[in-house]
Amino acid sequence: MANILETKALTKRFGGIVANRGINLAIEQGKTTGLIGPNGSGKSTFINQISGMFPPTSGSILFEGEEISRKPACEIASMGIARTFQRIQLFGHLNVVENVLVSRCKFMRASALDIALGTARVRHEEKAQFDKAMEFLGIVGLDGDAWKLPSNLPYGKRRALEIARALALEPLLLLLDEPAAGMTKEEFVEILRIMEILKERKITMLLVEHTMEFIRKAVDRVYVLNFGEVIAQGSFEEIERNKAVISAYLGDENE
Amino acid sequence: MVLSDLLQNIIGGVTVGATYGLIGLGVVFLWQSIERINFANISSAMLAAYLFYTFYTQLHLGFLVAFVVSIAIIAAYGLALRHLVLEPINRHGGDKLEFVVATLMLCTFWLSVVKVLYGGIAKPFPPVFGEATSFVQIGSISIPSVYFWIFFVVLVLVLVLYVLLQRTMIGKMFRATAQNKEMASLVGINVGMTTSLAFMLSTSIVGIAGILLAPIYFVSLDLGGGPIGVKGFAAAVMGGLIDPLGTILGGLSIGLIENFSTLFISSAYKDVISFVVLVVVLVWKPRGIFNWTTKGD
Amino acid sequence: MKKALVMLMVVALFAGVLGFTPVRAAEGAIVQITIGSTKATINSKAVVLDQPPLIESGRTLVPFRFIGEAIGAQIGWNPAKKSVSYVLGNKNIVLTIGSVTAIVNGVKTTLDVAPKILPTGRTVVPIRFISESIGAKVDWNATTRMVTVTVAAAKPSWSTPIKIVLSAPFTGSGSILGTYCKGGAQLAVDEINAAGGVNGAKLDLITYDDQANASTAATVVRRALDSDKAVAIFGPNMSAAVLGVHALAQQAKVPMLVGATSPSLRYDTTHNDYLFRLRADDGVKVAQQVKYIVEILKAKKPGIILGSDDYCTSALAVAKQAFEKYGIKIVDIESMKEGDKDVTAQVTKLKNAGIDVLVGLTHEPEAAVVMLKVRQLKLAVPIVGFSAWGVPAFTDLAGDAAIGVISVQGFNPADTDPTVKKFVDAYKAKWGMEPSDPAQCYYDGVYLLKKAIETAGSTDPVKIDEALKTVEYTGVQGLMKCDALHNFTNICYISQFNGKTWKVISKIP
Repeated sequence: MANILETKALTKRFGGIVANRGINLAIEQGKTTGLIGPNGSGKSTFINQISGMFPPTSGSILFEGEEISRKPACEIASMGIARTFQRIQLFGHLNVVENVLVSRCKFMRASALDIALGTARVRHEEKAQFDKAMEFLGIVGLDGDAWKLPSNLPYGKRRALEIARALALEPLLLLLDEPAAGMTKEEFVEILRIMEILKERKITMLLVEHTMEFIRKAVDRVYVLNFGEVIAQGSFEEIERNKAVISAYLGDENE
Repeated sequence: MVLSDLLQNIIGGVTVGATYGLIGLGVVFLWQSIERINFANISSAMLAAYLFYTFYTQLHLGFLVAFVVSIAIIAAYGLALRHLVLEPINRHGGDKLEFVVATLMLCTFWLSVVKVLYGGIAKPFPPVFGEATSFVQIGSISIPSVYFWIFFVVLVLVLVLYVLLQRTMIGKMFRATAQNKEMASLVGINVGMTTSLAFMLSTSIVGIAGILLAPIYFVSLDLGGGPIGVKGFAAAVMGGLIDPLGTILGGLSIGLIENFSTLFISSAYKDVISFVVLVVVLVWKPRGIFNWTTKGD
Repeated sequence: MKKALVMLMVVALFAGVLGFTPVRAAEGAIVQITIGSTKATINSKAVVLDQPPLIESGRTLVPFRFIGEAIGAQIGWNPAKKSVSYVLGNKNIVLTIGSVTAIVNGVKTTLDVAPKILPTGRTVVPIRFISESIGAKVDWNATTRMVTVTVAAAKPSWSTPIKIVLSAPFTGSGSILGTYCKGGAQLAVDEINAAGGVNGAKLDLITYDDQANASTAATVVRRALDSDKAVAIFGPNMSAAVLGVHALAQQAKVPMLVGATSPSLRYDTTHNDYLFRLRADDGVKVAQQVKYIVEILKAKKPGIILGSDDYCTSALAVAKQAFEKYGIKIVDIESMKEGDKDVTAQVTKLKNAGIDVLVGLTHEPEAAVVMLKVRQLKLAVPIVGFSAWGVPAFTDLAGDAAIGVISVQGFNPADTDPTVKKFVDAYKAKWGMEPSDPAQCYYDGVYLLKKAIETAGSTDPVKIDEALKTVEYTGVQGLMKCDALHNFTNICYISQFNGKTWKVISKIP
């Protein structure tokens, strides 16, 4: 299987701090790759660079063989990389279905003139996108909450909504930043169920997580970061036995 | 006081109130799209009115041509606002406050420019919406024909804006951008484009309003500041800065309060009373008087 | 720091040095020369001539440049015509080398001796003729062979051309007014200059834009006083601007003639001997407005629509007093703010108060707003507006709604009086538009100034000021004479708008 994304010697400096140092990472098509590491090890910085929120200091990011490290976020999103956030970020003034709909803008084919004139084509397209949005809500089990404001949803459903919004981009690669953070047992079960659906749909994912149980169940391959560097990689079982990982990470943060 | 007097005053209040609302729409639109308040919002009305006056009365272009060209220029001006005011401020780390201060000065700037170019004397607006002295008589009520134009255009604009913002994809893109630029760009929205569009639309709306209001306000500096600017802004605030319909209703309330306070209390205290009412209302419902939803976010 | 101080002192010293004007004989001078000697004195200061004076046919000849400079004249040399000219005050002398014919103020005169070029290459001219033509006294002492030329101290003192400054608004809220101010003043200046000027001296009108703004007006007036050395200043035209600057004219002792109409500019308030007003003040106009309402319209229940600024409220004060004198009670006063566009409630209340005349005390755009509403709500009473209700800035905006409005005006171009007609025709011919208030007052003002200069026999501002207080002049605004309030005229018109022009109902006085 080919790698959908590869980073080569990816380095990010913030002033004197090196948040990512020469990271070489590959994400295989159709697989779920895990990225773990202690707090402050550079996981979020890595994911932020891939999604285009800020450019790397040096190194490259190849997405389907194309260099994307200098592209703006909206272009990267349109190319097929979607993400969620550690702290849930939703559009608070938009209702649930609208939150998903905004991800569908790149699928609109109507011209500015069509929009200005409100032609049948626009109306038809918007209807189609609405149906699509509802479909994605259905995947995460939110189709019954379409007209609510996100603020009126429980935490777990907000997390699910964020995933639905990312899915609506029909991404080739989905970046999930600690999707199980701060969840109750029931919510945890629900998010695992969603992960299963995503895996069934053969969606390539990069999963940043703290929860070992979650990682164990979800990932095919794991990278371990410490102080901005990759200190180990392999299957979860291999990682679990790795001495460096145990001392750097598992040793002092056992959940 | 007879009924017809009352009705006559309601019509007067509603018309002037609608003009406040119309101006307020420009404020709402920009806030909805980029969360900025353009204090030079009202300048677009004045500029459009003077442009139309120049093209129609002085250069003798037809109504449609003069109108389209004026609004096109105003839209381009909106784009310039983005690139020459908003972006430099953002680049230097400025935020909402810096934008407010810059646009406040811009408002004064345009007043001076127009004053120098056209002089300070108000000019009559060509009777494109009917003669100023043509009235439609309905029973004992007499309504200037231009009022119907104002009602009509306000209605159309509100409807268009409402549908645009609430019902279309592009409206959702605007609103998403307004709330969270970073997130918007991560779902593939070209934030640069929506920002440009927002500026162009917001100046265009106010520009259309300016041309429409010129029969009442004349082609004058009054269209570029003063009471209409302040009250248009107040209308937008009454609409919670996000609700076009609420903004129009807010404008109507202000217009009616002004009329009735003159009618039943005293013309000398008109502005004081409207101001007090506005402050009380905003303290009571700071998210807009017509916003009955619970706290967002 | 020390260096800066030294620099500052050097600059100050230089400024001081440069600031000294050279001794100007026009300010009075005594010139002494001796035949055959290169030594001469000007005001007892020794100077050396490059050519000693000589006598020919009993007349003393001196170098042409020396005598001109000594008496402070402007010297001209035309090599083509071989002519020498001297200009001092309103005197103009032209001599031609080898010719006994000279021209003094355009009149041919014959000399005893012709100017000539000496073998040394020096041009010499007869000193007595030059001196006496210029108005100086010449004494001859036969024993010392000394000639003494005494130039009297500026009697009459003439600045040529006579500089006057107009401060008027060309941009800003009163921009159209500036056009009229200048139109009137320039027309008078051009007419006077074409007719030979003031005692032969041309008037030079310098116009500045004061933007109807007190601080800009202050800059303009300072420039007029310090740099242009104007003998008189016309304008500013806006009362607020005049209030801000008239003290400058007072300090500099230069007369200021304004078309501003606020009652607060009367002499009993300003106590400024140098401030004059060229048209009827607002207090006078309101009084006439009320008089017409009461005496001619026989109205008993006046209602007032009132603007909010000083122009409106000071008019209200006068109107209240005037109505009170007649024992008439104002039944309703409704106010509006400048910029207000809906007066439905105000007009409804006036209508319901049962008024029998509407008195308009607002500015032009508000007047238009009121009239549109009066027509819409069919308030069918006579409308008598203040001066702002009688100008194109109002009728243009109000259109047909202005038909029938009566206003008190400072000027009406439809007046059939021959002087007015002559002025209106000349103005139209020159500017291609009809004059409007205040054009007539600046036109009259320039003629008044001419008369004052002639009466004073001087362009000294102080003397002009004295003369302005006494001269009488009949112009477009009738007899103009400075009264105790420093107003030159109280003329006003009660006129009615017929859709095209203002028909004069009565002209007062």
